[in-house]
Amino acid sequence: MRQVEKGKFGSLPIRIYRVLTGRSIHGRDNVVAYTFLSIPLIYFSLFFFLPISMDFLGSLYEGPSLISEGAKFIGLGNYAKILRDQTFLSSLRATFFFMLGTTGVSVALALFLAVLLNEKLMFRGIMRSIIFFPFMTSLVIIALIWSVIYDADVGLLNWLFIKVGLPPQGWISDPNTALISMVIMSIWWETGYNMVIFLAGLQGIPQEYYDAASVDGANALQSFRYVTLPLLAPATFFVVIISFFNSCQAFIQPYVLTQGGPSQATNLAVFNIYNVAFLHLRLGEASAMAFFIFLIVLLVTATLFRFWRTEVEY
Amino acid sequence: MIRNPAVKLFVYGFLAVTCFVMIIPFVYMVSLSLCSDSEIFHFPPPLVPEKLMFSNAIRAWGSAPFFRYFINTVIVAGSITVLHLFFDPLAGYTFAKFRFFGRDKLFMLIISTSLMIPFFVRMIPLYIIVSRLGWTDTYFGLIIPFIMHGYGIFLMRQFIMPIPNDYIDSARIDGCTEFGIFLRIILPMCKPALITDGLFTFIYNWNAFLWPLIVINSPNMRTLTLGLLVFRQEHFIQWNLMAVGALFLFLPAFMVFLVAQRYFVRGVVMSGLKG
Repeated sequence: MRQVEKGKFGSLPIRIYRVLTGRSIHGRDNVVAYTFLSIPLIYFSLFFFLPISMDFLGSLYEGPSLISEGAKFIGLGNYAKILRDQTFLSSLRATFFFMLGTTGVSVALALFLAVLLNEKLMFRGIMRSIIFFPFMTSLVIIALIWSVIYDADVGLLNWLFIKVGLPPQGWISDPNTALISMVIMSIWWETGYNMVIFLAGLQGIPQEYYDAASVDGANALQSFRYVTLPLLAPATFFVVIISFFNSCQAFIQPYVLTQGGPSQATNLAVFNIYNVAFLHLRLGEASAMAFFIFLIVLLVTATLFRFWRTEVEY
Repeated sequence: MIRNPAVKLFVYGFLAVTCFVMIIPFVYMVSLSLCSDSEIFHFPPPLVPEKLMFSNAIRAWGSAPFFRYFINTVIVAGSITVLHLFFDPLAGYTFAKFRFFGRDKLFMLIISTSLMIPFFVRMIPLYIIVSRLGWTDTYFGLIIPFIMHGYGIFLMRQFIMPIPNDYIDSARIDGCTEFGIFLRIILPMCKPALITDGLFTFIYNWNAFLWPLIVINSPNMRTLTLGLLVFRQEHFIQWNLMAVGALFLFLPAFMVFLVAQRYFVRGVVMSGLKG
């Protein structure tokens, strides 16, 4: 047997023999490991791998679903259909705006807050907790409160607007401002989370770098630009990815705040998929929508990875 | 250190305004919950109600089966958390300390599918699977699809890897069973990571909404988030009662946050490290 062994785990037949009998170089590792992993593997197969492949397969069939009788294979027909579907296309536009608005503003604001709260200030810990807190609260509650705050007639926000001499707005009842209102609420919700990650990143930057910068005569703005920002690149990357990921999945905001209205202004992608699948029962199309959006998200993430990698290795 | 007084004033001013904006919706929720039925439509809206209507809480509690919703949520979020605290470290330990066929590929597969694929991709097939299993409208349907997660497994693996193998080897020599090693040696050592994992899992599932909305039909099985929205549809005008309902959902999570605040912050930081 000895001579046949190649590399660490031996040649293929030996490897297969070892997997089947559980006899590896490391004793009973295979048997014990796969026993421990048996339930996790069944779980991930049934609730992750299977649904993901089913989503793609289901998007190729017409009718209520892949498993139901009478489902007809139509290839990419569903994709052709959804790309002509105005509701879907407008939901893509709304989602894109929502993602860009939420991520852009919230990441910038979080970075600013993190830099301020990294200084030695009074009440620093309490202020950090307060800003972080909304993220730990259910979005259902948050959307409920904000729906009252945004109320056009007696809401808190319009009262404030009148006080400072601005014209009251329709907020979530006006198609022009509904999506922006939703973006504002989501920024309010997730900025604290982004801030905590930035704070962790800031604490990893050694003080010596700042000392060196100030010896070289850099002012606060310059040391931010040339020390903080480059060294925070990994944290920034992570925050942007997470924020994109969270906002492409936004569902509770439209469901509780606006039901996708007025005139579909806030019909975000996942809310739209939910309606197509579970209200109109067009599961094939809904699966195609989900897979299509997933591909876009994957593409954006991959592009960001590419772009950022070169950026980080300065 | 900021030395310039003008800058200092600006920093404090900005932070004070931010904190105020962060708090005010919660204050508004509490004050709404204490308003009388007529007072909620006053303009400007009252931040401190004239008369504190504590009876609103009893009225709201009585007008919907909130107790039932509460129990359902505790059962679902609680069981999911307990199962996470068993399976996440079990899988994490296996990936950290065993050498077996296909380990790294399997680990990458699990991590990437559960961290990089958004839930809406799995949503529809998951519903089909769960209804084929006959689990719609049951606790099973709410619990079983969420009993572990790639994030928790990753966290546990990272935490267990630096534990010296000597602990495991000497337990083996002393005749401890493989499962006994996990249960008696590894699990107790993971306490800090378990706290973080458990807290996040609990809060996340306490707040869960989309999946219960899909899988639950009967009023008896509603969780708090679902029940709250049904309650809003029935009492659309009565914001004060709606605010009370929101507080029912809010307060337990708030208390958990207050008690365990530092673990949450640490958890976010740990999740940031993997990036």
